[in-house]
Amino acid sequence: MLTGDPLKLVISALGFILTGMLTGNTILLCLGLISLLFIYASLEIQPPTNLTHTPPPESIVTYVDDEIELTHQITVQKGIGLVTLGQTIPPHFSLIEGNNIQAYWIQRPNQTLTLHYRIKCTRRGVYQLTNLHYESRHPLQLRPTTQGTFTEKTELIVKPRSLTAKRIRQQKIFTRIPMPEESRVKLGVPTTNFKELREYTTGDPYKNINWKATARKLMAPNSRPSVNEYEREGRRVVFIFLDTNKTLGLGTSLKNSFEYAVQATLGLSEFYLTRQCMVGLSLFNSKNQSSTRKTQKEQNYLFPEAGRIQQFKIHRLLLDTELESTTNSIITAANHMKGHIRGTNPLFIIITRLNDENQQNIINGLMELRKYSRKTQTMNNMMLINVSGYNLSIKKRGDKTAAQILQHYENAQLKTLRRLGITAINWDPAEQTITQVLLQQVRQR
Amino acid sequence: MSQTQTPIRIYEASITILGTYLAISSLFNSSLYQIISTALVQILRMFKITTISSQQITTIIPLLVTLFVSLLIVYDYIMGQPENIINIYQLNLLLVTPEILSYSRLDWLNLIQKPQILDPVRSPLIVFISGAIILVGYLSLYFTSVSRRTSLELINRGIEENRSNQIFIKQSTIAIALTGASAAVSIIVFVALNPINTLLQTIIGNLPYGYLAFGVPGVLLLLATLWFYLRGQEKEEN
Repeated sequence: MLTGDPLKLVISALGFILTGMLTGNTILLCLGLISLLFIYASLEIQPPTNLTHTPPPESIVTYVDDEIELTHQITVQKGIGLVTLGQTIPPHFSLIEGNNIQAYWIQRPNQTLTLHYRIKCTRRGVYQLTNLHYESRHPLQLRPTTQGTFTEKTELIVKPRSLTAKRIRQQKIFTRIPMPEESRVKLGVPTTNFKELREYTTGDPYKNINWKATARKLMAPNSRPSVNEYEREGRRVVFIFLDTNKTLGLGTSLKNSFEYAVQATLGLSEFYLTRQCMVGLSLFNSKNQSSTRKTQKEQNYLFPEAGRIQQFKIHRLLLDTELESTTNSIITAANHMKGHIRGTNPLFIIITRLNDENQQNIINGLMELRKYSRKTQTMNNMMLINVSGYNLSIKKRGDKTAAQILQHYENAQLKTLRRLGITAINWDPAEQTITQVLLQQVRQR
Repeated sequence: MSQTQTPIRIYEASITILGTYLAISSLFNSSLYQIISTALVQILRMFKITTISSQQITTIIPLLVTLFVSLLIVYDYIMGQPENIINIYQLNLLLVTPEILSYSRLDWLNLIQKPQILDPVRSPLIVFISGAIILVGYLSLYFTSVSRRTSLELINRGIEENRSNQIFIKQSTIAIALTGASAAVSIIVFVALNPINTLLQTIIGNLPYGYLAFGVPGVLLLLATLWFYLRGQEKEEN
């Protein structure tokens, strides 16, 4: 297949030659020869062909706001001409350095081309790189452009960035960030904390026999030796409830309350997991809705577990979580998890954005959660983090004042919760990081 | 104007100015012009209008037209439409045609019994080189305009201007080199034609209609070769 240009050249050459023949003019014949030689020599040049592609790694794991470098290497085995390479950047990524479309001039065999660019991941999620497209052109474009694609398998996993909580070693400093109060387990490694005396049973080690207590009981009939019982090493339980109500979408598509809520969830789960707690995660929707439609996705819950595997599971769940991922209320979520809550007296963390519509739903949910806790006067095993998004949606002058007024109203709502004994923390992501907010809870003894 | 495109633009301007000068000179040196100018002078004298001598005209007018073309080229560059320069070549080819036709062995003007209209004046080599330069200019400018379009397309698609300009330079260089080489080979063939002609004369000079015996199969062979070549290229692509 040829483009229209060679035909034009051939016709012009034939025009010269035929006129030269008809008039017996050697000058015209030789002028026709110029066009003929030119087209012959041009068409003998082959456009770039036999392209081979070395793709980037199959999986790239990174964090939000991190930059990643993507490098494609293409070898052109033969031909001369222009090669264009291009790849569409996945949504929510921005180009930082280099170019995702590039043109190369091929002038020697086995020439290696490198398409290199740096992109910034602005939102968590799992993304698939699109296929790499190429175009190969004849140097004088006397042949049609060849187009093709290289199949791309690279998966970009963008994890949300978590808070970097550090242990504070200063003795006089204590934190008001609540920890689960107790751990109730029957099995596990005994600690050195004395629990109680009990009667000897078969299998108890002799070293645990409390001889003094046994001697005191010798006068009683059918007395058996007494043994020391120690507290078993157990794990305390934390339940995190993340609100997926669309009101958390306040802000831009990339920087909104929900994205920060996800960041807080991840940060807190890591905080407690590294402190040997079992962490459970549940998504809920604080929207006031009458429908009790059951969601198909079982992934809305993660039952409490400890360790790095649980951390990985939380990461995976949060990668796919979007606004309105579930329609379950906090009560439904609590009912779903109640088998794991009972008997553990856990710490509940609710991450949401308070407003008029959902405040009552959240209070009702907290009351429901209280049923599964040990009966106490206060609700100090509950923490609510309010991700305020008003400052994230400031676009023009005057919005700042409106945001401040709304924040005052938000603070009033938080005070209502504090009166119930809940640890209510207000977080303005535009002003502070979650770490800074949590550090504010640290007090001097 | 991008610095990297400067060599190509200088080439474009130079070959256009040279081609225009050669085309105008060719017209003024042709017998057709002499006949037209003589007739014109006679008509003007009838109306008692005096003119400058024809010798002065053949020197002054090509220079004036070349200056005008130079200004036109500068204008095209300023307006950012250098591809318009190629339009000048259509006029140049038209201007050079009478002198080229004056070297025809088969003078069709014999039919009207006016063979003197197209009489050769200058050396055929000079005329051929003039024609070759104009044709090389036309071909190379056509392909530099294709390269320029490609370059703009690349920039519009988001490729850096510097990279696009480099590609333009390389693409244009290939076009210029190929046209130059084709012209060089053609000039060699033209120069070698006389000895070949002499050789052929000794072989077929005595044959009746010898030129037909060689010419017709020659043309047919040329057409067949072209047809097969282009078909071959198409099959290769498929």
